[in-house]
Amino acid sequence: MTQRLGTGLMDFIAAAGQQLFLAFDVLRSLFRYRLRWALLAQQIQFIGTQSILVVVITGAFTGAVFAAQIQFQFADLGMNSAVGPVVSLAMCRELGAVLCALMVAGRVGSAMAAELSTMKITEQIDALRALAVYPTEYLLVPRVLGMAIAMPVLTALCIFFGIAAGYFVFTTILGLDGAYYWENTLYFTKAKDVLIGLIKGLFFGIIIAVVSCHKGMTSGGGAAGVGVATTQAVVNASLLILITNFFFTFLLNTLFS
Amino acid sequence: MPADSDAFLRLVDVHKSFRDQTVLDGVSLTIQEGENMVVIGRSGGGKSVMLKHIMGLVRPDRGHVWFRNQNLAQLGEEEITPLRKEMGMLFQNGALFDSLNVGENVAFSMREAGADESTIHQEVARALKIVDLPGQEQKMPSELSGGMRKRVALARAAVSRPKLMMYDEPTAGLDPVVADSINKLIVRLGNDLNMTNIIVTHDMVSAYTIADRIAMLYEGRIRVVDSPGRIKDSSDEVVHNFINGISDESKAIF
Repeated sequence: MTQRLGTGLMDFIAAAGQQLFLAFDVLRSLFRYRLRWALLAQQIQFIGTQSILVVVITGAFTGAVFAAQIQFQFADLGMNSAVGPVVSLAMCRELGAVLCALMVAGRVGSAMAAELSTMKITEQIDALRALAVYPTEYLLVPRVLGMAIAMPVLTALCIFFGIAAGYFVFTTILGLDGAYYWENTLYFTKAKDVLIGLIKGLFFGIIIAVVSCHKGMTSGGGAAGVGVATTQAVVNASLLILITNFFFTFLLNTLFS
Repeated sequence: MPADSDAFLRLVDVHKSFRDQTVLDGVSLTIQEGENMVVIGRSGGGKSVMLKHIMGLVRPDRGHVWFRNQNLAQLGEEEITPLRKEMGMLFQNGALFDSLNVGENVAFSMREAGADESTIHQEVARALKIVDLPGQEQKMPSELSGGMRKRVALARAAVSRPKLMMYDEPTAGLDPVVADSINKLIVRLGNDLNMTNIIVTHDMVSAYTIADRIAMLYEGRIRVVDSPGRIKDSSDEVVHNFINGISDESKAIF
């Protein structure tokens, strides 16, 4: 039992070290090599454009249900006017970035890990090296950078549609005056709240890309290896997002106090 | 240890283990420029791993790999990368990039080198014609048969005219006619472009067709290196059994 715990801990530390090394290698390669614009555009299209619908639906339904629940609880206290700002602050500071990142981890992180691990077992990564190309520069830089560019935009969309769907529920379904919602939302939502969401989105994006690329590049053999890499990429990235979010919340709150 | 200045490529006492399994147990082999060296040996005997050491794709646990007086075992990944421009490798299953079509696969190294598009277009068409797949540029790797993939991979590796070409079982899984065409292609490319070829195979017909010298890898070491004629007449039991396809008789039954 103790031995197993020890091995698990060692594996965890080794993986964390490798991921940190991978992140630095990507950063170094980003400046050292010519940027591959075509591959970057391809990744932004795959990570960003193709995730829009998923992220918009996630944001909209979260905002909608949040607005309804808050109104149910706040109505008795005569605080209907607080619904808008509460939805807005929750979406900006927490829900927008976290939910968007979890959806992107599921949709894009899994695909990244599966693609890279398949390339590994079919010797395509060795072939790339044999053709005198450094894999980090060709495969990882466009993925990590693409994610770092796409995620803040996706987070913004998630936040916007969350607030908008809250407004829709507030006015159309609950039949309340929309002026309350907008006025107070705009009054209480500061630029720093939006910025906190976007910064979180950026870092969550980098986490998803680094974890997924690491799992893909270090996967074991065969079809089973691809499966394990894919699952681990999504689970580890999701857990890391939730855990780091806790620390980000305190850190960013202090920075933007 | 100083490099042998005459040798184009020299493996010195290369050891490699994966987990607890020893794959290479002191391989030493010298290859001269321009020769066709065939490496034979049992499946899973470490032949592919040996090729990957020469390419610098795998690092030895112990030993040296000298290529043009540089010890690959002591160079970092990014220091080996430029040396790889002088090498080409045909992987066992082709290892074509499945996100790129045939034309883009073959054009890969030229595009990396920054050649202009019209030259690339011409060279790709020429290379595909040489491997008997003219006009197949637009096909995706998933649409190709095993033999076609290998030929595309061969075109991709050879199009940049490397000084050293490595072939990992170029004829495995191919019918005898296609296999023969690949063998002839390897010899022709070697002669026309003055390449040094290392061919890993357990197909003895290929070995006799191509080889200037044959090396046999057995239990992680080079058992023998000799001309095809002498290998054929070898009195070494291991070599004799391998080239004639004789297995140790097992008395066990299921």
